[in-house]
Amino acid sequence: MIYDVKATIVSNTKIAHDVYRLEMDVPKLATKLRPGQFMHLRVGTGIDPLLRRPFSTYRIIKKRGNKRDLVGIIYRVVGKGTDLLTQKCRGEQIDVLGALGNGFDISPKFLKKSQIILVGGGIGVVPLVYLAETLKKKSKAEVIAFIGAATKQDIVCIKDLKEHGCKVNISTDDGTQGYKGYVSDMLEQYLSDTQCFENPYIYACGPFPMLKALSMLACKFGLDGQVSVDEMMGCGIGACLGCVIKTKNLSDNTSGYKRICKDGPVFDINEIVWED
Amino acid sequence: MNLHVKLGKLKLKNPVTVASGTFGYAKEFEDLVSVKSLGAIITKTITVNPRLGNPPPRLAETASGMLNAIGLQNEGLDNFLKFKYPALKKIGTEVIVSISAQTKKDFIFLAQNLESAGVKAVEVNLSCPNISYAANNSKKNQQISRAKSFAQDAKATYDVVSALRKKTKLTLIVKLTPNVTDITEIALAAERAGADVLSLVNTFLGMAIDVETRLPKIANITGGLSGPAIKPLAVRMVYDVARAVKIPVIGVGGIMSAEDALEFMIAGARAISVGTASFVNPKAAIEIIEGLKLYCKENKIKDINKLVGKISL
Repeated sequence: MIYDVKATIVSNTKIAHDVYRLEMDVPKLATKLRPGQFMHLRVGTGIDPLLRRPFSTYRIIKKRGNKRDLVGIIYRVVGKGTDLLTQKCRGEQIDVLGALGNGFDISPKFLKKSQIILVGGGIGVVPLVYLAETLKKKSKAEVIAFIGAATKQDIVCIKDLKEHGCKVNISTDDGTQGYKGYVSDMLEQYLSDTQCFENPYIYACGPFPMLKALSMLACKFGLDGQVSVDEMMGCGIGACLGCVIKTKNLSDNTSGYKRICKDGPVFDINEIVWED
Repeated sequence: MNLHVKLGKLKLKNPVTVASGTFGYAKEFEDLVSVKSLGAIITKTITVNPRLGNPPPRLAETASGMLNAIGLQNEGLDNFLKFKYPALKKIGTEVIVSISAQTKKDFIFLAQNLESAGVKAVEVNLSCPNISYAANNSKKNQQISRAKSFAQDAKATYDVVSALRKKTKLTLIVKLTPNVTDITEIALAAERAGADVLSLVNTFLGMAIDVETRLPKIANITGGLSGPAIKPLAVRMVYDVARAVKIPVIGVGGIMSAEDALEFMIAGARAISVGTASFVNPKAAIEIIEGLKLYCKENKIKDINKLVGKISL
């Protein structure tokens, strides 16, 4: 079920360079959103910017008594839409469509794994926080997070991941924090150096080049996992076919375009056909 | 108050339809909208065989508008009839199936198969700006192959529509492109060929470039511009066409509100289609129906048909 509701903004706080955390009271959605699902927000009120903007769920903030639980998102300011969103104040209303997309598959067969690896690139770490929180409750797996960004000031949500029991490894492209280089290279080094009884299972979210590198790694090391992709969207509900990604059918090897908003945003790591 | 309008043999309960390609096959919106309250649903375009569509990125936002180059991705006629049409038929409002083809023969094949399945009306999409027709046209047909779509050529439009007219009793709604010098010339050709209704406009061919990478913002390089940015252009074209032809016109292009819809109707549109607005506000079309009722009530209009083309000059 998809809801088209008005949310009331409870807070909208700058938490890092160009990064904000927004909490809102969204009737119905707090109990519906699963890790990896997203919401489509109408950031403006007029016709420019025209389209909604998709944001993944960062966390559900539990409230006591008869107060409704809140929904949190974390966003980076990247353009006109997100810039407008920073100007929203406590008490203001915003149109929200949700809960959208498939979300991460956390069925028992994955929860039973002895080791789960989370890989986040840039602001792509955000949905992994909610996932980590859920894994902590539902799985006994050791959860290791590999988080990368361009530079130190772009690294966010590390504290959250640690609170949810993750071991966190950080990389920056410029070496200002942690491993110097891409997060996928850091992970490759880890996989090469570590002996495991059982292959770890991967959940990832980040920019296309990172996810592409990860799927190469998955192929090389014979790993399974899921990746969440981020793309500009039109309707957000599967009608316009604007946000597609090429995938192959793993059973018959045919390929076609799937809708990121409706069939995704989470896909099997081995399913996506990466094109340049 | 009467909101019913007639489009060929179709009688719509109100003049508000949803534009092809912006409402899927209605199922996508069923959680959000009382779909049966719409005057009609115009489906995403279908073709004889499945089409993969264009590579991504397919969308780019522009000032008060949106560029798209989806490339008519669809599952083809058979899958439409098997998986989409049964649910559409049960909704309780008129269903207009948008069809596209690269040859007259395929257009006729689509129309006849849809007619036997119980469809009452088709929108003949002669105007998708995002697929190449040239490749499949024979060398004899140089006139068509130079144009990017049938609706950019009056003779090609006439040929397709008259061929369809001879082979089907379906209500034929011909969707026109604005990417022409004189849209009335194409409109008149479609009318002469036997079209029951005209729908205009499809998207305006446009382009956007990322100055950092110098890449076009959509992979197809060019795309179709929709949204409020094109509304005045579309109103002008509807005005011109409605005065030139005798058949009803569906006005489409950037309608976001009841006021926008009324503009089109006063310019001469018998009905309107809501397109891009449904992405921004899924309930846009429903809110427009309510807005039209309110306007009629406030202005003591007993029959909305009395408003059509009543521009004060």
